[in-house]
Amino acid sequence: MSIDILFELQQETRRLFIAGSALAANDLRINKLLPGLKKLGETAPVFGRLATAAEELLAASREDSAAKLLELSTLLVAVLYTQGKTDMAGEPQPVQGAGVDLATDAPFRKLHPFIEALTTKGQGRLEQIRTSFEDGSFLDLRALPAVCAALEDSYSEIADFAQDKLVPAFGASAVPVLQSQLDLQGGKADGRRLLLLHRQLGTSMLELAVEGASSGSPEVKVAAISILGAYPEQEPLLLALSREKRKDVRAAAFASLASIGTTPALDRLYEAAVAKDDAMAVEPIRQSGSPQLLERLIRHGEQALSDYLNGEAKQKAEASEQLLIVLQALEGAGKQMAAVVYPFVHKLLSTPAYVVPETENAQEAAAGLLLEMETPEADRLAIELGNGGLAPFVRYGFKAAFRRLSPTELYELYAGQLTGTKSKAAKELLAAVREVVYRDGNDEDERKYGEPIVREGAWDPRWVSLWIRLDQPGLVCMFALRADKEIVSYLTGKLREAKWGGNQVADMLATLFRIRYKEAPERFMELLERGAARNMYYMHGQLRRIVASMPKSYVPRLRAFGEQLTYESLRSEWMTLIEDIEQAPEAADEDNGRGLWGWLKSKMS
Amino acid sequence: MPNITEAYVDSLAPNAGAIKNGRDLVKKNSFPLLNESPDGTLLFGECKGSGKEPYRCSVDFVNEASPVFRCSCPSRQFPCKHALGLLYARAMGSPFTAAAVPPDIADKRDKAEKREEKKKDAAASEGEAPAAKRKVNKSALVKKIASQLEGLRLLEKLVQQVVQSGLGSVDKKTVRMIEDQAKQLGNHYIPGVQAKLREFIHTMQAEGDREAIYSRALEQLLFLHSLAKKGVSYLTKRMEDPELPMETDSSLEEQLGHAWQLAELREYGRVQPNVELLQLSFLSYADAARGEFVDAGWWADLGDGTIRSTRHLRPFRAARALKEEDTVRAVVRTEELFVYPGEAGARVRWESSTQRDAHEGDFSKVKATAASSYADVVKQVKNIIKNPLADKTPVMLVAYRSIDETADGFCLRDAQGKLLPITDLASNGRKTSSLIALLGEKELRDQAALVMFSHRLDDNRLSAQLMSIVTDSRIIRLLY
Repeated sequence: MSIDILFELQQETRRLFIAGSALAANDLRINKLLPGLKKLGETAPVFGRLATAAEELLAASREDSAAKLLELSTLLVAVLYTQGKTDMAGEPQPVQGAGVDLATDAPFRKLHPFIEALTTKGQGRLEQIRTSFEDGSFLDLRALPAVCAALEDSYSEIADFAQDKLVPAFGASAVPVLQSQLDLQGGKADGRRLLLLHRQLGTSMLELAVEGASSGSPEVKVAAISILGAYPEQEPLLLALSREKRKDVRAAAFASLASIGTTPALDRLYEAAVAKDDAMAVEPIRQSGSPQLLERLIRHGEQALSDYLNGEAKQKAEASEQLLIVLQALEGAGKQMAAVVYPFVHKLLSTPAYVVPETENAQEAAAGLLLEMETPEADRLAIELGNGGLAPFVRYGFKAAFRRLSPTELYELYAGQLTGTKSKAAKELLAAVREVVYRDGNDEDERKYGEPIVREGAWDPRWVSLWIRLDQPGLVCMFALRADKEIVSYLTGKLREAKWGGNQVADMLATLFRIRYKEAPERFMELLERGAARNMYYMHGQLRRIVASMPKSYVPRLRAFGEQLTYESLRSEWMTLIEDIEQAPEAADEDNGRGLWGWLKSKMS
Repeated sequence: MPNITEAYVDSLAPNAGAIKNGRDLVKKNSFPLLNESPDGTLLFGECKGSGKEPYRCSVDFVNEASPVFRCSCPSRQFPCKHALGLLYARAMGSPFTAAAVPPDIADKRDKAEKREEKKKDAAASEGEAPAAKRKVNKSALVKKIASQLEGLRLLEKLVQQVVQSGLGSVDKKTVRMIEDQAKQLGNHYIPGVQAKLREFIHTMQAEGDREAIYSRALEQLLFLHSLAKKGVSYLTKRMEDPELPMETDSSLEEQLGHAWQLAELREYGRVQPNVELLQLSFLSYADAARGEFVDAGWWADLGDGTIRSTRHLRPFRAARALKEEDTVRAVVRTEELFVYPGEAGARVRWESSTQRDAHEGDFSKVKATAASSYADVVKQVKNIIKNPLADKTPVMLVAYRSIDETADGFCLRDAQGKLLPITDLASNGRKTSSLIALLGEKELRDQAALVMFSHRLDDNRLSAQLMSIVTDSRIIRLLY
């Protein structure tokens, strides 16, 4: 074949280009090709020219060799370019297209950055992907393969975004691509693909899900099992899978069993829950919330309690674990199943032999269930237990009491117990007070920019004096509602020796402003001028708010202070804020800063 | 005023960042004041900035084809995000109140009008006396050519030196030496040659598969060799007779580095009047060796179906200040189309243009001009690429009966049953063959495809990458 000899010659010249034409003189391999070339030259002159060029190269001196090699190669390559093959192996069959009906209208400047973000690595990609999603330019045929491939992105937030937003937006169009990319033996991304396919195809892909669940890789299995949870007829398979070796596969099977909720499924969950060392079934049981199953578990719990009370050390430990699992499974169902849960919990907590330090976790879970029920008898029991002197119950008791008693009753019941702050019970009680205030405090502004404050009328006014006596500045701030002499002198006294950045200093200042203590601005200014510039690091919401509460007359002093700030960015923020105060409309200043704050907030958003 | 749509405003923006920033201004309600003149030719408004004073921006549509953007902001980007934001506000339906044209803009309009008149007067008086042919300073030209020749000989010597010692012996030291030489070429008025040499350096510095690098380097060496040879013979002739016209049958001048001016192209009669073009494909990429971004477009002349290409170059250093080109979906009409010297798929350019929406007739017209016989097309392609200085990846529009698949991959089939293998060119960045299986029956049968050919010397195969598919009703852009 004449082309083959050209090809061979090309290989030889290429070799000389790499090795250097200086070695070309009398090259053996090219020499070998010469006769063939010459022979072909008799019929086609171009071979003759190649033969001549090759001969010249072989005869050339070192200096000329490069020029000769270039000439030969230029001619040879030109000839080769006319000999390109376009044949195809095999019998061509027309492509059967998937017929995805999508436009290709996104302009380059929008599509390119999107596809780049999906297919490369580096920072800022999610931002770009979000932008393209929002402006709709992502919905383009050309982006589809990259979008589906992004399910594999090692940055899981991108894979999540593709799964939750991008691929679903393509709808049925994504199906052929997902199908072609799917590998049941693959990784997490293939699990995602399976879920997305189910979302599009529904029941018609059930067979695929069954295949994935029975023979896929573990990641694919987990996804496939979660799909099967919607099909009660898959119960036998799920039951079998719930006995797999891998923990995550078992957990997925339990979750799906819970969602199909058939009797054998619930039986299996019960079995798993009561089996030794298997807390994995707790969450699915909680999800299923099946009353029959929970009642059965309570019966099991009662049995475990009697085992605990009568058993040997080993049996005791086992029973106590079982009880904990039962109580955890009941979490969240307390209110709805109060009728059966209450007697059980009551029995548990009023059995002195059970209420011992070893079972503390279970006791707390039980106390939590009591609060969940929100029934008078349950709350009464919680309060009783709290007053029984066992530290962990105080917290639950106090919460129940807050719900059941009047403010005065509450104060009278608990204030007496707070003679100091060091005992375990006192610490629990203080924590309970804080928790209740956090949940009950309702000022959105306070929640966003500082500590919460109590609701007026919900608490006995004597509490604040108690906090002052106990030296609890945080609680004083939460409970202070008016500029009473006692509060003011306590807070200003504390602030006198405090430094900026110290414990609750900002809270105390904010409180002084809030209760409209007239000299609050002066106290703040004093504190600032006492060397705060060196330990002020950034402008948090509370600081911004305190500064915004300053009257305009303080602007020069505030500015002078700003000049001393060590940190550049804080300084510029500080100065902008001062400028804003200066520019604020006069009316806003009247209300001791409150109005100004509102004005500033509207400016910030 | 033209119909202001978001897509229209997108097309005015210099880059993707400006699009986002302009839109954000509207989203953030940064325009407290939006006005339009009673005759609707001027939009103006105020936009909040970081300072105390708002920016006053306006867009003037007195001349619809080229709106004038004005803004009091100091941004060097043009149009700035404020002017774009003003247009987005319009496109997104924000209310504009009627108001008189502000005096400063009225002033500016007057001045612009006077300028325009003056220009017209000048043109009229020039029209009477035919424009004098541009004078060429002969001695300066000869001096320049001499310097160019010197540069080309330098290159020739360098190429031979590399070939003599072999690509295998090119090490860091040699590369540095070639780099120095490339820098020297900068003094010889042949920037095109210099860029090609830089490409070679770039190839040799690349990491990865040595064999592939050698193959690429070999082709580049052959190109440099041919360029030096052809360049020397052409320039020697011109040196002997400086009156000779410049080479316009091939792109040799451009390859040496000549930047064709519109006046020159006009002089050589390379202007076509009243042309309508439809963009078939677009691609933008960074050319690291040349240090510039390239915005490349492929177009069909709606008159005769000729495939044209455009290339806008944005040097990295100036990239921020230059407009990023983008996909164009409308039909572009220009009174004067300048065609660069060159072989097939010649580069074109235009100074001013208007746009109209493309309709079905345009698509079917383009489709009808597609080459129907692959035997002819392949012959044509081979004829082009065998020329050592030619573009090795010519772009053509070919008709197909169907898109087929074999064990080797995809291919196009023409009416005679001839096949054309489909491939993906790494240099184009994206794989388009993966989209074939997603297309519908209608797109896969009896349509036309814009393809880019390439010939791999390593296995002697000629194949083509699908860039776009043209049907009677639309263009499916597979590349960009």
